[in-house]
Amino acid sequence: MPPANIPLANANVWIVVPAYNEQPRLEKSLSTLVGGPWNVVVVDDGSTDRTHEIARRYPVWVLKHPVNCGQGAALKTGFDFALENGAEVIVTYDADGQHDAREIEALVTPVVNGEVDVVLGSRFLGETYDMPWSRWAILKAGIVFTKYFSGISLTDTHNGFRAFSRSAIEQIQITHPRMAYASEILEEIVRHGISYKEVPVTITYSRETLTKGQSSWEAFRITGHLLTGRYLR
Amino acid sequence: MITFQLIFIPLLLLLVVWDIARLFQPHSRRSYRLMRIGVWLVAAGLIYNPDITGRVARVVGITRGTDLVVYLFMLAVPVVLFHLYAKQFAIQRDLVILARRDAIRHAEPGEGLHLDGPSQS
Repeated sequence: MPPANIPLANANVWIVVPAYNEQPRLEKSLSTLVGGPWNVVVVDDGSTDRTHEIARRYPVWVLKHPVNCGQGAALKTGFDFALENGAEVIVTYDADGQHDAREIEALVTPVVNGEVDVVLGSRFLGETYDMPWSRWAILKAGIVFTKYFSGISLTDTHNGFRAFSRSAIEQIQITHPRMAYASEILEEIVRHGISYKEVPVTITYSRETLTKGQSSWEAFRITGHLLTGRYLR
Repeated sequence: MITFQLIFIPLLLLLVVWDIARLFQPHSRRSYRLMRIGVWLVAAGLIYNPDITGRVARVVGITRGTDLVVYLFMLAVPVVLFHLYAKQFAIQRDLVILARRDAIRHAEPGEGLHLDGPSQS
C-alpha cells in the first residue's frame, strides 16, 4: 500500500470499467473519466454492439471477453490486468453513467492514505436521482439479506462504485461470474477481516440505465446463484 | 412375452453389452459404467417381470407397483436436475476462465494511450 498522504497521481490508481452493450452510454462515461491521475481499463464483456470500438477511441486499456461472462468475471479480468501492471489502488466504476467521476478522489483517498483497504460507495449516505421505489425496496431488502447472510452491516450493499487496495484485491476471491459477485466481495471482506468504510456517493438513474440495467427481479436470481455457489464451493 | 417386452428387453441388453465393452477401455469411468449397467439390468428385470415392483411396493407399504415407480421417478428428477445444473455451473466457470485469459492476453491500448505512465498524463 502507498505511504500516507501520497499524491493521487503517484498512487498508481486503476479504474476498472466493466461494459456490456453500453454503446449509447460509454462515450459519456469515458469522457468524464479520462483526464484524471489514473489509468482506465475497460473490460468489454462480449458486447454485440459497438462498445469495443467506442472504448478504443479513448486513452484507456481495452480488454474484450470473446463471450458474455458476467460483470463479476469482467471485474476480475480488470483486476488481474491492473495488478499485473502494478496497480496499488483499484476502483470499480459502472459504464452506464450512473456514477460521478468527480467523486473518485473522495473514494480513493482513504485507501491511498492507508486508512482502510476497501472503500464502498453508498448511495444512501449520498444522493440518488430518479431512483424508482421498486429499486429502493429491493436495495433495502438486499441490505437486510446481506446483514444476515454475509454478516456485514452496510447502508448500501450493491453499489458498483468501490475502491480497493492492492492487498485487498489480492485476498478477495471472486468466483461468481455474474451479479452475485457483489455479495461475494462483502463475504470476502468479512472472511479476511479486511478494513473498510463507506463513503457517500451520488447515483443518477435514467430511463436508459433502468431499462438496460438489472431488473428488480434479478435480486432473486442473485440469491439463487449465491446459495448454489455456496453449496458447490 | 408382450410386444413392449420384445422391443425393450433386447434394447436394454444391447445397452448392457455396450457398457460392458467400454468398461475395459483405458480411461473408462468404471464406477459410472457399472452404475449404468446396474440401471439397465434392473430396468430389464422389471420389464420382464412387472410383479417384482408390486411385491416391493407392498413391502414398503405402497399398494401398487406403478405408484412405487412414480414415487422413485419423482425423487430422481430433482437429483438429476441438480446434478445437471451443477455440471453446467462448473462448465460455465471453466469457460469464464478461458475468456478472461484470452481478454488479458489480447489487451489493446486505446487511441492516445501513453504506455509509459498513467493513461491521461
